[in-house]
Amino acid sequence: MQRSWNIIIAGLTLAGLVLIGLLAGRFVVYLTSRVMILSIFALGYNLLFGRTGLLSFGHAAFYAAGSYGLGLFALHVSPNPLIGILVGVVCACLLAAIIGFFCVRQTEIYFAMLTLAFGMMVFSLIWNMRSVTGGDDGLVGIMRAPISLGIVNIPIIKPRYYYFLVLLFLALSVFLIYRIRNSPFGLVLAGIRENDRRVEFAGVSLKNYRLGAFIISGTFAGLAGALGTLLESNTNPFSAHWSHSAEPVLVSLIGGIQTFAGPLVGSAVFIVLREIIERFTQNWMLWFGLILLVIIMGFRGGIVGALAGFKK
Amino acid sequence: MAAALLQIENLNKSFGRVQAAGNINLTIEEGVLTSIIGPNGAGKSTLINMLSGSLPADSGRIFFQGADITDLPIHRRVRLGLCRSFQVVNVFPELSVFDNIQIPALAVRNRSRRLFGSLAKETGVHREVNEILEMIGLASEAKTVASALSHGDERVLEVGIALAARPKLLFLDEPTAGMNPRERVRILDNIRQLSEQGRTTFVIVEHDMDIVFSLSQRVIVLHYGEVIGDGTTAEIKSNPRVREVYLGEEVAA
Repeated sequence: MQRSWNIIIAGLTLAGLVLIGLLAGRFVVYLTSRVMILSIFALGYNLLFGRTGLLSFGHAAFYAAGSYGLGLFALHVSPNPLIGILVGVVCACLLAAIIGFFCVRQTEIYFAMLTLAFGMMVFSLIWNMRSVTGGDDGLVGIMRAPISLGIVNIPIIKPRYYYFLVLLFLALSVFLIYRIRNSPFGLVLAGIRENDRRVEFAGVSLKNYRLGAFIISGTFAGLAGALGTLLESNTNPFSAHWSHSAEPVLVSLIGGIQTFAGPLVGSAVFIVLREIIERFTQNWMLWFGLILLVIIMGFRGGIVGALAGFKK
Repeated sequence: MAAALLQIENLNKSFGRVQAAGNINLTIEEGVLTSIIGPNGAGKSTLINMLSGSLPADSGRIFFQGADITDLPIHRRVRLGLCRSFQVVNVFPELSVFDNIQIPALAVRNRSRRLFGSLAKETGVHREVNEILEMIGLASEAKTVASALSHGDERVLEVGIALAARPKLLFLDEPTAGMNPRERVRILDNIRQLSEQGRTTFVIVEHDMDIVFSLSQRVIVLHYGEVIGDGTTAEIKSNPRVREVYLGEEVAA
């Protein structure tokens, strides 16, 4: 029963996204692309946050690794977007492995502060290594070269085509993260969240599993970074800024950290609300903060969590 | 029959000036249901913490089935077959009873690293989990969230998690504390049966003397971090040193 409901909702969402891609105007297509990219970022992040119970404030670093990995590859080596995305994802994965190695030894507040510190270091590096990263100008003019599949060329320079590429990656991410959450590995991660002391007495190496979750979430952040850079055709150091690290945290909280779909719903709410508020006022943060306050205090367990509660 | 399962050599541990373990030499034999007793602060918990890996020893060596495990981390010891349960409830509160048992069952079968495999298809593990639930009497609560169990059932689950790691040697830290008489009888029956089957050797830390003397084949008495008595229940009951420092009137009565 529950399962068939989930399949229906997933199917309807997918159909809705396809319809937006086919019929909606330029702006809505662009906005929905951004929602989907943030969703990938947050879905991966929530595997660490909601599932494993580790609060990281440094995931913008991995987003930036994907972003700059793709950007530098596209500008200096080859404009092939698929290889570029792969390069970005691998960069993020490696950076997550290195940073994670140090961070997973700590827990709770120490873990959070360490990820914040590493995130700041990555930001400063990007800011200061002008010759490579372009400093505060960032990387500009990253082209969306066509994807060639044998005889067919897909011109992803057109927003609609690119939209479907992002949708494809979102579907892939949803599938992979769903599998991970429902695997033996995913259950152990939940065990770590519930009781990290006991899980070792179940024969589980706490550090290795934490590191595993950290790397997976960092890798998806890198995918989001690479896709986001292709969408905007540029990137800048603020993609690595700690305020950007807060985005997946907020998005997960809005949607519900203990739910699978929470980060997806949260991303949509986050981007759409921000877009609407920015039309009326310069101080979007003030109003957004207030709305966030209501959601977090009013809907314990986020929007999806609250809706699931209603159904019961 | 009586092969050495665990061997402890000159184990020492001090906290500041307090000696929690003073030159402990012990051999735990396979299949012999052993109890460790002693007054509060005798060093029982310290000893178990050192043997299971949560506390490093100041000096001395620990051998499990002949292999030196003194410096191994907790999860490696569990995988070798040395596990423990806890005195306080220490379960996975927001997971179902089934999943609580499933985590160790997956880990010791080397299934827990499967990243994309479906949990629903782990039928071998599921069968084993159900067997354990049946045995500890929680089969009807399989889908209940652990935090919603009664305190006694949580304690039973605690022992179940330890059993699911298929230990060769299992330390039970006051396994029946907080259980009602019915649960207590069930758990003690389980321990006795499993001990007779011989797959698991039990070492029990217990305050309740009735349990200790009715269950154990061997009793070890600790006092200020030293072993002051070691023998069968009859030997311990008649040991003058033990009577003096610990048992007092309880045995005399």
